[in-house]
Amino acid sequence: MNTPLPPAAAGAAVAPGVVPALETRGLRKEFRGLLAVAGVDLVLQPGTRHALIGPNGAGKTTLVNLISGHLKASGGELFLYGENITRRPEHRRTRLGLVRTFQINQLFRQLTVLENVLLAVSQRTGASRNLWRPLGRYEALADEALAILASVGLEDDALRRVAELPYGRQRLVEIAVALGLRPRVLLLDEPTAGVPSGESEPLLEALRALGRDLAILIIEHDMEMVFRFAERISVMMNGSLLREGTPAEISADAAVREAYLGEDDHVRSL
Amino acid sequence: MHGVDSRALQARAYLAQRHRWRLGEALPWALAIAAFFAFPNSVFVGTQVLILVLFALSLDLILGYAGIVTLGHAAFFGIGAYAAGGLSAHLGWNEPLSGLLFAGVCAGVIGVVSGAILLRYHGLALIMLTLAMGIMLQEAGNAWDSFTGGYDGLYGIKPAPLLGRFENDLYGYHYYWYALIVLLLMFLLSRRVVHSPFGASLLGIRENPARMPAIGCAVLWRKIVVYTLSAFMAGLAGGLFAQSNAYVTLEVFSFARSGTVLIVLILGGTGRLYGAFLGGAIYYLLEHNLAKLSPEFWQFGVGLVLLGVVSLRHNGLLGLQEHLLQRIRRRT
Amino acid sequence: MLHALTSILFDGLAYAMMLFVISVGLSITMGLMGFINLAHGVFAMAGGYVTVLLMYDAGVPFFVSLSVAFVSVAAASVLAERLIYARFYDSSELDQVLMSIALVFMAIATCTYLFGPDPLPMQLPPYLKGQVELGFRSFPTYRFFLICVGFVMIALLVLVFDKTLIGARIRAAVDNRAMAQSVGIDVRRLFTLTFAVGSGFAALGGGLAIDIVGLQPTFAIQYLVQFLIVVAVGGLGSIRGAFAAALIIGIVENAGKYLWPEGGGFFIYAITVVLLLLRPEGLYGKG
Repeated sequence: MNTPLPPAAAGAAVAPGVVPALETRGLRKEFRGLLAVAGVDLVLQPGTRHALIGPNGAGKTTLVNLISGHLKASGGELFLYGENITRRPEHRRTRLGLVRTFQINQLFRQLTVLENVLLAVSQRTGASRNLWRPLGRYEALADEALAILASVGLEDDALRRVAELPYGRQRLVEIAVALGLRPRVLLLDEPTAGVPSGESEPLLEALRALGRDLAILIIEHDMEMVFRFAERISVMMNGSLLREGTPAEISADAAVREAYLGEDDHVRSL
Repeated sequence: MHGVDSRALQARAYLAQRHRWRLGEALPWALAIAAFFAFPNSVFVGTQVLILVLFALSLDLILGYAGIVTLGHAAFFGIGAYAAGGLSAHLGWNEPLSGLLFAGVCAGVIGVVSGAILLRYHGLALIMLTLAMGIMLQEAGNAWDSFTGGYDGLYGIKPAPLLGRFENDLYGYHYYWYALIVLLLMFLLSRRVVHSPFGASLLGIRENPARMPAIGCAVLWRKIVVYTLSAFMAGLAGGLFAQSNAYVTLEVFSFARSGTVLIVLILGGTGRLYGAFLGGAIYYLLEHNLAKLSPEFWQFGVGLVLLGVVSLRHNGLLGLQEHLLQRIRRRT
Repeated sequence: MLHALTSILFDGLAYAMMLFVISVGLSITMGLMGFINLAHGVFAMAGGYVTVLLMYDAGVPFFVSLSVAFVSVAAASVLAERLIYARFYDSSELDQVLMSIALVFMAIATCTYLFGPDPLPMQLPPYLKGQVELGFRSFPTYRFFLICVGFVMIALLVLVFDKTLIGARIRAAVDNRAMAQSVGIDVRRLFTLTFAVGSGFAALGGGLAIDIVGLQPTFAIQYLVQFLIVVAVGGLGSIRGAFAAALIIGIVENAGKYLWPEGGGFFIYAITVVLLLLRPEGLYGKG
């Protein structure tokens, strides 16, 4: 039952009758006796901007790896717009529109920026199954790749090799590649990680510019960014979800403050 | 608006020029043709060079483009050699072109079956599996010496004249063109595949195999496809070997042969198709002339040069050439 | 029947011990640095040549020759490690394979040039020749000696690894190099040490192996595959794994030779393939 996506109102709780973009039920991961993710129930509404925060080692990246299929879950279920994708391998989930970026850049460093995005685009359209027609003849794909680069401000670097770019701009390529897959749900794993604070504005701009047809889950440590960007926040600790709510609710929550946020000035002021 | 359009043209131009034919690409073929007329007494040697180049080209597809490291590629060469040789010596089917195709297909079939199993593995496990499989074939061939002739070799290979007219005479003239045409066809096929979107995905698999599933790519079947194509081509090389030499021994499966083709490709440069040509020609000709003088010095020299090439990290002679050209361009 | 069976087991065990002594160093160093070293057989071969030369040209007794082989090759390996190997620690697998193959070629060529391509003869000291009575039948003394040496080595290694500080450090670094470094373990120096000792053991094994398999310049590459199989099938960085794999190879190799002389070699590789398909990280490797 697919109702049309309502505009996401900031601070909205679960809207009745709307199929969540992403839903996990009891998602678990065990590593040789260590429970890294302990039964997580997470719901992402369509078009949302949802942040996942928590101390290091809380299991956030592991959770993203489980959702994307990079790691196999020990238990639990996963739904993408109502479809049960628990058994689907990683590449099939991506094809269904569930796309993730990596905390440490996972790019094709010796290829140009354009070729990186082109790989994603040609993969999505099925062009990459063609063994005969030269890639240079796929002009529409090249145009699309370039348009994506333009949308994140990378059009000037299109023909430069990724390895030659500064780290902050490589991070943008990471996002551009994800966009090349036309995601319905986008999982961003610490997009500003490793980016010098002077270079993070273009990144934030790019994230801001993303459309509302896209549900975004973002893992972040930069609290300022989280409170600027997110409409809902989930707090994760020791493999479980501690709390979930609006930024205001989370920053006011005593348990969260004690466990994680600390009595920081700028948090208190929110 | 205007600026974006010019960039779009630039991007398209960049992609388009990758598959365009360049003038320099005629060089190896011109040289191959010229060599035939310049060295009429060494034509047989020339045929063996072409066979080695084809073999190295097949390895480039999997190693240079898909990043699959194997120490047992001679397995496919050997299968092709014994398929073509056995067809003639045991079954009396002497038509060379169909025999060659049979050799390629046999190797290709083994390629797809072994690939479907082995290509799920990586690193040391894959290296050991390919190494062990190559040696297994050699041992199996030794045990089945009624077919293979063991280490004494398979005699009685009598290829009939090509197309009914061109026979493999003492000078080997016809077989030189036979090998050259086969090499050309396989090269054209490889070039097409490598410049296609499929070929681009192979580069992705080579550069970052972990990222590929995350962009929706099912890696395994692609590896199997290129592995099968590579096996087919190596099988053709083996078949040509059997037909041109009219003799095959178990040495075709040896680790030495797998190692040699690897060194040849590394020497010339991987991932460039032409590295096979450069490496193959240089290696074979040097070996043919120097190894006779002193096998120890030759072997030491190969080791030393290999160490040098790997230390330089410029990807063989072609890579070195590109590096030097870039440095010159930066100066000017 | 029983005689054949006990012969196979006994010879297999002796062969396994030889493989183990040579390969255990390779397993530890590969587990420690993840470095694919195809030139390990060169150290074994060098040990063989040093042993034979000392015994023949200088009349040095067997055990002293073996000791000198151990020390000299260990020292030479440190040189090789600092000058050549260290530059390739961060290289791709392929580059490491190629670089070590290059060393093998150069070593084989050098040995052929210096000593000729033919196997060098080996004369064991008289007390190691002949047969020894072990209960219900007699066995070749030398093989019995090899088996004893093997057990002593296993005991020594297990002792060092399980009971000493340095053994604990090595185990930690094999398990998780980054973690070990952050706890203050100097992994680089540890590696140089294990590389030296491992190469020394290889030399020792090479010297011991001469009577069993003969010594010629192609030794380094001929038996390389078996050393690699021991390491890959056993699991990188595992003494138990190296021993288990060596045992399997040794017994299968000898059984093959007895039962099926023309095709016996096939089985080692078939078993290797099966075991690696089932457990690619090795029997005792990190899963």
